[in-house]
Amino acid sequence: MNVSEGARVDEERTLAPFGRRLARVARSESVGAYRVVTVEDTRGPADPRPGQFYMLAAERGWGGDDGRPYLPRALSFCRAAPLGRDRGASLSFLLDEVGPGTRRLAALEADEGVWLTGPLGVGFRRPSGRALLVGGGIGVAPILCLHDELHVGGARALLGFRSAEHAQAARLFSYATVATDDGSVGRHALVTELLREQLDDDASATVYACGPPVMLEAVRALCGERRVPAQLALESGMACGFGACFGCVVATRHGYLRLCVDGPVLDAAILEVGAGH
Amino acid sequence: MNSIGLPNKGLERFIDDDLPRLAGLPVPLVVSVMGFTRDELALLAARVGERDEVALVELNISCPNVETGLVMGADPTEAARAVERVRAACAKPLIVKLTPNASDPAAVAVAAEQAGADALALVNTLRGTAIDPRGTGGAWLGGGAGGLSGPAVRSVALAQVQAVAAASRLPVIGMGGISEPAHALDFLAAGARCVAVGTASFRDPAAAARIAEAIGAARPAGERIEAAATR
Ligand SMILES: Cc1cc2nc3c(=O)[nH]c(=O)nc-3n(C[C@H](O)[C@H](O)[C@H](O)COP(=O)(O)OP(=O)(O)OC[C@H]3O[C@@H](n4cnc5c(N)ncnc54)[C@H](O)[C@@H]3O)c2cc1C
Ligand SMILES: Cc1cc2nc3c(=O)[nH]c(=O)nc-3n(C[C@H](O)[C@H](O)[C@H](O)COP(=O)(O)O)c2cc1C
Ligand code: FES
Repeated sequence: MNVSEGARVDEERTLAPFGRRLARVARSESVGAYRVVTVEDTRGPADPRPGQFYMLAAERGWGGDDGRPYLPRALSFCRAAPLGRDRGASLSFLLDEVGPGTRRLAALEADEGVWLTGPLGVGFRRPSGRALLVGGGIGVAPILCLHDELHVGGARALLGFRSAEHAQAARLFSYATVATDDGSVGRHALVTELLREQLDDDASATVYACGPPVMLEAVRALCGERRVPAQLALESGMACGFGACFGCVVATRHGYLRLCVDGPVLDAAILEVGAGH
Repeated sequence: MNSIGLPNKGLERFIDDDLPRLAGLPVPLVVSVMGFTRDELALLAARVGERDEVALVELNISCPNVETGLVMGADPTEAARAVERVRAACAKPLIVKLTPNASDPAAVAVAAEQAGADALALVNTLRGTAIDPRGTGGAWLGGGAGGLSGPAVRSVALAQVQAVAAASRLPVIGMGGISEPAHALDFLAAGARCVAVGTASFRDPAAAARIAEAIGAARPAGERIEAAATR
């Protein structure tokens, strides 16, 4: 396998302290079908980039009856607020319970301990000009902090959800247009249709997107056709999160890239068409 | 379980790009080589072994020899022939990394010792597979099958380390599921001279340093093996 390195030079990255550190859960709340867990990361950087992620493991009860989960799980932060001078940040994570790891993290209660490594990877580049934010399902997590950052400029967030229960995550956004697969909330459409309309209106924009693979592929194709620059936050199985295991590679025009080091945010233009991302 | 294989940049780019950067680290460098023929192994070991930056060479014999179809590390005769070839090509201390997927790892260890190895490392991953949980009946791993590591393999690794340490006089680097200081002490008690931490480093990048500190073995492992192997 041909492995490339450092294909991106204009990266936006805050470096993680070495090793993992223990953080305390400040609170955990339900938002529709999801859970938002907020932890006080007093020993980490105060300014992670939207799109960067952390590896999380619960201090206790990590490793259930069948030994899983053993490895930490990758989560994008959805909100970060500095805790004050050199006091790190309060980090919020939006969780979709799909397996033992995310279930355990969603069950965390205030004052429990969480092991954190991060922030990891390359985030979204700071937008200039008109930004269109597109989030699908749990993929709205990194879009939320980017939206917070752009709020003054009023960037539009286009959000797609499976159902009304999932669509409650749109409440976290101050300004968003919602579509649902079943039409129960907002437009009865795929979020990529909302994006198409926006681009038909005015194609001078940069698109920032995160969501399931089919959505990202549709965004890539749509933006590719119209020569609209797009930055996509991709997902792949991550065992380590810091470049050691090579489990997270994706095929790009620059060869295979480790998504945890060279991503998770990649320029849509470098992705191989239909490469399975 | 992983089915990563051995993705890498190849010999030339490793020597040109990676080695200079790795040489800046405050530890002795152990370079692991793996190939599909004895010629490949000998070439790789010779090229990395001649570099001043490299303290020790590790020979990974967990792969099939495409010429004979046998897994080099599963059969004592195959293993001995590979080690002999590499030994002649490389002047640096040579660690032979053993696979647990052999019916008698101690016999392979003795064969490697007689062929000129300076130290032994075990275990590599245990062959395993997983079926797609979505009910397709197909493989759940990219490579069809893969290798198991981490806590699940610890007791198997411990028994193999014990058997190898009893059969061979070479220093043994024990590994397989070590994630706490107590696990490391178990391997040392079973006869290992050093221990290594693999999978646990993925959940805590500082796991090896933390364990070394806890068991009072703060000296870098490479130095100890180097000392042991050149004794
Ligand atoms: C950079 C990055 C950022 C991420 N950010 C977030 C985030 O902000 N919020 C979030 O919730 N998640 C996020 N994820 C995804 C999250 O890391 C994974 O969903 C998580 O690792 C799952 O762990 P688990 O133990 O809960 O599930 P696992 O059991 O490990 O399952 C993982 C996935 O495998 C599949 N799978 C496993 N078992 C089965 C089965 N029996 N049947 C069908 N499918 C199965 C499912 O698709 C499941 O989603 C992110 C991932 C990456 C790489
Ligand atoms: C993702 C991954 C990649 C590995 N790659 C190699 C390799 O290239 N060469 C090798 O000799 N062993 C390799 N191993 C095996 C480990 O070095 C180690 O022998 C094994 O995982 C058992 O130790 P552990 O339980 O502490 O991980 C790999 C293991 C994992 C999990
Ligand atoms: S997750 Fe291990 S290399 Fe990317």
